[in-house]
Amino acid sequence: MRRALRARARALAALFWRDWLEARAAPWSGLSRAVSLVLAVGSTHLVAQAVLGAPRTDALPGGYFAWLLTGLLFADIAHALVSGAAERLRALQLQGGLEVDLQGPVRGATYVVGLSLFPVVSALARAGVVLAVAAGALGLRLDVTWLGAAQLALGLAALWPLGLVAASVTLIVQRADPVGRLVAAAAMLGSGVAYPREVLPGWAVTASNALPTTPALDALRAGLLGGALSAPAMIALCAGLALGGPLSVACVAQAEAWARRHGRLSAD
Amino acid sequence: MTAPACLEFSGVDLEVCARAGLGDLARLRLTGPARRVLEGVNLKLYAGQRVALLGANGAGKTTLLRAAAGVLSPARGVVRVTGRVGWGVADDRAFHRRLTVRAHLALACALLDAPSHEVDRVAAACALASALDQPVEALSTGVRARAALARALVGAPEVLLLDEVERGLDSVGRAALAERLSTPAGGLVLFATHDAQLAALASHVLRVEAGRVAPEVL
Repeated sequence: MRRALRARARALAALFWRDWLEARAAPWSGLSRAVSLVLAVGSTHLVAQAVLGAPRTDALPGGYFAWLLTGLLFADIAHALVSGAAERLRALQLQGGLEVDLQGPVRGATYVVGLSLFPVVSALARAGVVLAVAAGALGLRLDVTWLGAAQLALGLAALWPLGLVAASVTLIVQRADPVGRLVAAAAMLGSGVAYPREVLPGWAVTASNALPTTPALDALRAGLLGGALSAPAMIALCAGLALGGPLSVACVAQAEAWARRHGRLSAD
Repeated sequence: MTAPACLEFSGVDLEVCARAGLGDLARLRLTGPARRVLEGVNLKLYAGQRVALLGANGAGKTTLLRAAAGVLSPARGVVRVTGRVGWGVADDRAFHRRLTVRAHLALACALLDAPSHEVDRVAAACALASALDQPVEALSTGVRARAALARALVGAPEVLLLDEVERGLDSVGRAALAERLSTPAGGLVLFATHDAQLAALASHVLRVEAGRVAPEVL
């Protein structure tokens, strides 16, 4: 048991390390991403200035700038959590490396989690840099407590099963991440990334409550800007993790078995 | 008492499906038309054998090796493998262009749960010591082929599957491969080749024709 866990941890670390080495070998891509993030912080600040005093934005916790910035950071982190593994898996499927990686004892969920580690860690690092720049240069005030940090971690962890499902679908349909695109679009529209959900029509607010990204975003804002997560949101996150975790692991296992049976681990 | 087979195919049919088109999805099918690549394959191969797979392009040699490596599951029948499997492919699928040979071998050690010091052992076996810290994109075709062979040897596999790894191999690499094929070793080596000299090193030869496998007397 302990040996199996150690082997799994070693495989995860190796996959992270490979993706880190690949990213390091293409520094221009990372650099342009960092510059564009800093520019995005500036434009977020200007947008917030432009809508200052607009109805429904003044009362937002931390002010509209902090609120919008955390929404955009959430979109970036959620993209890494939901789409990171699926995009990497598709690239490896096209290249042929997926078959080589999955020829050994490493299986399904461990592999997919391994593929998502680098994108997720990078997105968290980017978020840290953005928050530091915004706090240092643009007066962003953060209110982080231990409870808030735990809520934030729960919110992000609850999105991980979606990433496993997205990778499973990519493995089967051999398209670049259809699930991730849907989740990202739905989150942008309904979860309150850029505007408060109260501006949506009543039926849309109800529908947005069913989105897994909605309580996760609430948790991230509560974690960074202070405030407690509502009980329904907390229950939704815990239930999502408790039920979605095992179901998504089973989903990856089924998709992998299907892909092996139909010759779909590679794009040959 | 007969020794158990290292690699056994029992009544294996194997199909590869095309990607689903719009029409397939409309019929709620997740795949396109299936193409049967192996049909009724029965094989028993044992430790100590060095088996050459011969056949024309498209006959099914690579598919048979992929099934033995476990990356393809049969539609019917069973593939049984006893022991650790090493799989060497000559094309670029095993490589990430910007990573060094050492990084590739270390990754293989981690994914195959082999000790890290295997990197130096397999690099020495394939005369790769001077290329270990070079990125794959900087390597010549021959050295890249040696790296593919080294990756297949990680973990000292009991079942070694080689898919035309001689393609592009230079004289040093060919010598390493020939040594592997001619030295009596404990494990099974199953290799697909178009090279008559390498095939002559085999203890057994199998001919693959249109997805069916027939033994051939040397």
